[in-house]
This record gives sequence, C-alpha cells and structure tokens, in this order.
Amino acid sequence: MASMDVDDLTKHYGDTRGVEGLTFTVEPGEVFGLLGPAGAGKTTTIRTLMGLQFPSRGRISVLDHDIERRRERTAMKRDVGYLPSEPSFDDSLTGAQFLAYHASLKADERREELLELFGLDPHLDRQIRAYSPERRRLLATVVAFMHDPALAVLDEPTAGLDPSTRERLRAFLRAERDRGTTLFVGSDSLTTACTLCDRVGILRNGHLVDLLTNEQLPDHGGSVVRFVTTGPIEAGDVTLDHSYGVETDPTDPGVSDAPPRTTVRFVYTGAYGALLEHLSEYSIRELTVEEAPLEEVLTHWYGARLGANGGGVSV
Amino acid sequence: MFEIAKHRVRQRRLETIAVTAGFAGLALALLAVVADTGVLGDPTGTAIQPVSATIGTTGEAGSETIDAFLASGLYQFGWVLGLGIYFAYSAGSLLADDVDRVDVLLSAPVSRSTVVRQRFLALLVTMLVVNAAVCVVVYLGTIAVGSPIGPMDLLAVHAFSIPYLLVCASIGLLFSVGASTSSRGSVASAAVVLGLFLFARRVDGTPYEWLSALTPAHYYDPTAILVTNAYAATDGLFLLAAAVVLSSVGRLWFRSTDIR
Repeated sequence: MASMDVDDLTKHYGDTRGVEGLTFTVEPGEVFGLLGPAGAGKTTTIRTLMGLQFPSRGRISVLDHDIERRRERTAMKRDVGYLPSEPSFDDSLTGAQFLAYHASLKADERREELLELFGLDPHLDRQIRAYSPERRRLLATVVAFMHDPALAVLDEPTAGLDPSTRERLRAFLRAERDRGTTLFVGSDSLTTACTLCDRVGILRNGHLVDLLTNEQLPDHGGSVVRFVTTGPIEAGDVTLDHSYGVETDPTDPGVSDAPPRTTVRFVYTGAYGALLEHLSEYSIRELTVEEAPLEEVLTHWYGARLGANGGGVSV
Repeated sequence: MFEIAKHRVRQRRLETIAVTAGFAGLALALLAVVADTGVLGDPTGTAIQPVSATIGTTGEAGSETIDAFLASGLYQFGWVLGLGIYFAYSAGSLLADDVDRVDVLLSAPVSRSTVVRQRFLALLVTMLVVNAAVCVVVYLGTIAVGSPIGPMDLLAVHAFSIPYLLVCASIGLLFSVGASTSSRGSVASAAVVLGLFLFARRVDGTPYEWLSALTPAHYYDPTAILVTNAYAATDGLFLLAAAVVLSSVGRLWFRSTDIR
C-alpha cells in the first residue's frame, strides 16, 4: 500500500484557489519532493495532508488512514512526523520542557540521539525565546522525528539554516531514507530536490505541472551566473551547454580610456567544471554564482504552462 | 491522559496565583474597610450602609449586613463582572493563541476535541483555585472582623459562581475559534461579557427587564444567596447546561474548521 495516496486534492479559500486537482502517490521508503516557488500551494497541500485544513474536494489517505475520518486522522499522527514551515512555540518554555511536553503526548524513542546530532543539548535549559531561528527549526525537527515515524512530512526543512547545518540536515534526511523512513518534503529549493528526492512533483500556481524522477532532474539546482568581462559580448556568444536566459549589458567602465566592459547573466544547470572551463575564455573582472530562483528555472522548463501533467523536461 | 490540561495548568500557574492573590486582596481590602468604619460591636451593622455608598456599591436587599456588603462589593463586581470578564478574556485565546499555535500541538496524536476539552479543563482549575482560596480568606476575614459569615451561604455563593464563570469561558471559547488572532478573540469575548452585564443592569426596573433573562448574570445572584439565602439550584443547572451547550458548539466548530 502507498504511504500517501492523494486523489484530486483541491482546496479553495472562499473564492481564492489554494491548490487544484492534485493527484499523486508516495510509495513506502520513498523521498517525495513537492517543489514549487513561494505561493505555489506547498504549505496548503501539506497542511491539508496533515488534517489541519479540510479539502474542498478530493480524497487523501495517509498510511492507509482516511484523513477525513477524525479517529483515523488522530491515529495516523502516531506514525507521522510533521515539521511546519513556521513552527511556533510557547517561548516561555525551555527546550527541555517543550520536548518533555511532546514526549508526554507521543512516543519518544529518539529524542536524545537527535538532540546530540543537531547539537541542541547545551541549549536545552534555556528558554526557547533565546533560541536563534535556526535552533528553533532544529528543535521542531527533533519533535518531528522523536517518535521515529514511518512517514515524515517536512515543510521547507532546510529554510533558514546556514549552509553547514543545511548540509548536516540533508545528510540526516538521507540517512533516514536509508533506514526506510518515507519522506514528503515541500521545498522551493531545486538543490534540495536534486540531492534528496527520489521523485518530485512540480507545483505551480496550485497545479501539479509535472512529476519527475530524480534521473530527470539536473545534477544540482540551477545557478545564476553573473560576471563582468572586458570587451563587447552578445548574448549569442555564450555557447555553453545547460545555460539559458543569457542577458548581456554593456557596462560603463567609469574611466574614459578603459576598454568597454560587459555584464553577462545567465541561468546554468550543468556541471561546474564545464562552467569554469568556459569562463576561463574571458577576462573576468567580477563573478558571482548563486542558487537560481526556482521560478526562473521553472519558467525555462515549462514557460507559462500550467495544468495537466506533461512529459519530461529537457534540462 | 490529561497531559494537555496539566501542561496548561503549569503554564497558567503564575497567572492563577496572581488572580487569586488579587481577588483575595480585594476581599481583605473590603473587610478592612468594614473593620475601620466601626462595624465591630455593631450587631445591626448599620455602619456598613455609608461604607457601601462610599465605594459605590449597591446592595439590593438591605445593605446593612456584612453579607450584603460582600455580596454587592466583592461578588457582584468582583465575581460577576471581574472574574466573568477575566475568564471570557482567557478563553478568548484558548485556541487562537498567537504564541503557542495549535498546529505544532496537533502534529501529536491528539484530536482537536481533546485539545479543546483539556485546555478548557485547565481554566476550570483556575476557577476552582480562585474560588476555594477567596472563600477561605473571606470566611476567616469575617471572623477576624467579628462578623462571621454563614459558611453554607459562602460556599453556595462560590459554588454557584462556577456555572456562571463556565458560561463566560464558553463565550470566550466561541470567540477563540472564530477570531483570527488571540488578542481579537480575547477582547471581543471580554467586551461581550461586559456588555451583557451592563445590559442586564440597564434594563433592570424597566419594562424590558424580562430581556435580562438572556444574560448569564440573570441566573447568578450573589446578593440573593448571601442576603436572602435563596439558592436557586435550577438557575445553577441552567447555567451549567448553557455552558455545556456553548462549549460543545465551540468544540464542534473547532473540529470542523481550518486551522489558520
């Protein structure tokens, strides 16, 4: 049986559409990513899956529990961990008191192990209001996994984490997958999807646009490459594979007799070795490589298309 | 089994102590006024009348006894109005609490009904503590000022206040489900309880007096209990039934609504 079976899930808020006609299944032991830019409907989907909101239409079964039935919804949560996108706490409690409270409500097999893993041990006796945003998220992550759930539903698990903690969390999630835990991850990070997920549903404006396997995704999330070079360059001069959306802009060097400069910007989804090789052809004055906004990558993949599942994408 | 209630009681510990101390202090202050103005050794208690006038309280059935003085000063204003507003205000943030939102709590295997029931139960604990403590303080205080109050009347005035306060808290619960933020829920429910109290006062003695039957204060009259020893058990049961109905409506509403 599937860990999650979602059929025609639709959620409207009055006249406003949240998500429309989502249909997918998540297999046991799978890492399923729900990838979409901010406002696409990820949190709406996740909160509906967790029974915090009621679907306007459609059926949802989580671990074989029909979540429209109250008793089944409560029973389901024994085996499901949930990390909200913005976890809120009673700030006056210490970390230890908060965890003890949750331990009184559900099983508590892995609290110690997780606290050690995330380095929260030394902070447990401090009030949560003194925690950094990162530590608050890690505390919520401990709550999501402390009862050793069969399925963990994680809304933006790496948001707000610094790069090293983010990598540690991804490693933890990969280890969880290897232990057989099913993961459902809502994210706006293509990198998270590429490095963690077995399968990804692409969500845009409330519609599931595509379902991709990990093999159909690029090796890493798209990057925005921006550099300044001497001499005039046209967009067509950049002939690097896996690059798109090339824009060039002649830049005033600021000194009258200096050679003209050009700012070049494009989105790149290929390997970094090839990028560096290509860039070595230019005389580079400035260079930045940043994670590309997901919407930009999706626009490249799908244009403005929404609606029914399409075929694979060329990346 | 009662983990959410226990947690909430612990969370509200300081508030419960502060409210209890506040109302015990009010009771002692009123008793001190009685002692200062020479009611001691005045078996008819006539000295209390000007005291009642001084602090602006109105005793209906003869202000000349310490019972009537406490009924109007402490119970009409302190309990019917003060504690009524307090419990409505507290319950107004029972579920829409901005700092301790229910979504993290609801990720645990607990039902929404359980959350409502147990958080409501924690409010009942505060009600019982305030009532028990102030009941003892008033009893000992009246002995100290030499005019002991009838213990059965005193117990009754506190016991019958519980259904009334439960109705006020149920009004708060309804607002906490409906309001988008805890502060709105709290303020709106406190305003409604205040409005109902003022409404009952306003229509009193007018041709529209029968309308006061729509307000909870109509069914809890501390003056009648303390002064004329009239324990209206049916009124208490009626309030209890109203509290059960209102809180059940709140619980069912919360069960079927989206969590923001």
